[in-house]
Amino acid sequence: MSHEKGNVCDEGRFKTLFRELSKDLHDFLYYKYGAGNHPADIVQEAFVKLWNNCKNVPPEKARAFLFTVANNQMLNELAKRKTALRYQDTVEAKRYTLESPEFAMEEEQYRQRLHAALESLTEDQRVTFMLNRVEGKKHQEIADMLGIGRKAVEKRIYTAYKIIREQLGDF
Amino acid sequence: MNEEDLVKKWLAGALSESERLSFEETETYRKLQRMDGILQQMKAPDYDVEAEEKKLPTASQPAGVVPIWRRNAFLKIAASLLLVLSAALAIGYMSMGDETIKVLAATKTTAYLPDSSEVVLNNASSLTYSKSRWNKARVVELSGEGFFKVTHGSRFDVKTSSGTVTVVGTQFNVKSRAGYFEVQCYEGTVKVRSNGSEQMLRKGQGWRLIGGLSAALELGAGDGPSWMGNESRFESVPYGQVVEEFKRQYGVKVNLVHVDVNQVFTGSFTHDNIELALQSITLPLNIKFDLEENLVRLSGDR
Repeated sequence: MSHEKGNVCDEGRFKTLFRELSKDLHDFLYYKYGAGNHPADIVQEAFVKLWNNCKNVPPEKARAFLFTVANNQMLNELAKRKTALRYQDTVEAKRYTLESPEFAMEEEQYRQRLHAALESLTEDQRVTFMLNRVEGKKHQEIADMLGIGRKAVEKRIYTAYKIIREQLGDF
Repeated sequence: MNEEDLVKKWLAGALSESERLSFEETETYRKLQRMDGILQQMKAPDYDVEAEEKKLPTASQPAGVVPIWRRNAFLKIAASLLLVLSAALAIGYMSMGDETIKVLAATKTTAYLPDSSEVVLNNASSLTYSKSRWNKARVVELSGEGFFKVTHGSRFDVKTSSGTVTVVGTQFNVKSRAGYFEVQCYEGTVKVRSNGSEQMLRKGQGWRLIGGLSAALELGAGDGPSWMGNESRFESVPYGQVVEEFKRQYGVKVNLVHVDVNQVFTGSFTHDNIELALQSITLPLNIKFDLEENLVRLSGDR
């Protein structure tokens, strides 16, 4: 990200920011609040807010601005309609099996336990954990994204892991 | 290094080569691998940065001018508001603090209470509870029939016109129809108070009050009442009650000619096929039936 003086009103700079940050923002919203809440739309709205406030936001503050605005926007939406968090199994289609019924059943049980465990995490724990495990983000990257310390990220991920591990029981 | 440190380092991707090799021998690692595999399947859907970028307001628009698609965004919000509103109306949401779920004839509905307890309502039944007072007291008023799966927590009361059912355990069925009150307990323990008497029901037990007479019941196998399996089952129930249930399930009128409504009926009828259902409730008692549009005539042979 460029650290020139100025603001993000320059279109080129704005587009660069979008390319750099939109996917992270989207994934952050998805893991934190689930698929039912249209994370892509909220990303759009957050960038529009950034554009409308471009004179007041220096480029190095853009990331924090976007994450805060998007998070608040999402909370507003959620307050309006309480939606249950639901993850989609994206590889549903791949569920043809050559496996034995016992194995398939055991697999299904495992999946359900894992879902339940993820849903029992706090939003902050879940988003941190998923960004690390699924998106392969480094601790430092997540720390920058969420505006917290690297140590805090490490602690959250490990706590989340402990909780999940406990709920998985024998699995 | 203890396990906690190993896992922490592994999660941070900071294990040295030798540490990694020995860690990969462990059971903990095998479990982590399995978890990671399933987690990958829950990956966020692909986010198409280019496509999303095209949706952004374009170049020449100076800040401060509302781009056209913003107006679309407003429309989107308005449309979704409308949708939410109509959905809310459809399930009978009332903003007065009391939420009423009403189920009309010929539909079964599952309702979720604020503590995510689940109530499956049978046809022509309604449930009322106060949203605002829910945290203080879990009380619902039921008219009709409903199957309850109560989330663990404080006392849970189901009030009906014939008595109150207090939940000590988890799954039970309450049927409160004119002149008929029946409670079946499928899991845990339920306390029933009616007309000053009190019963404790345990798993597999039921209790019934018809026309002032009470009787204990033994429940057959199964995890829930028969009506949830699209069937109504009766054991030694006055025929009049069977006919009432039939009317509720099919939303039809029934005329009775020379039929003794007090004779006792044991049997069941399906909710999916009216002809078959009629046969089930008439043949054993030597009753003839005529089925026209929305009217059923049952005639006995006297």
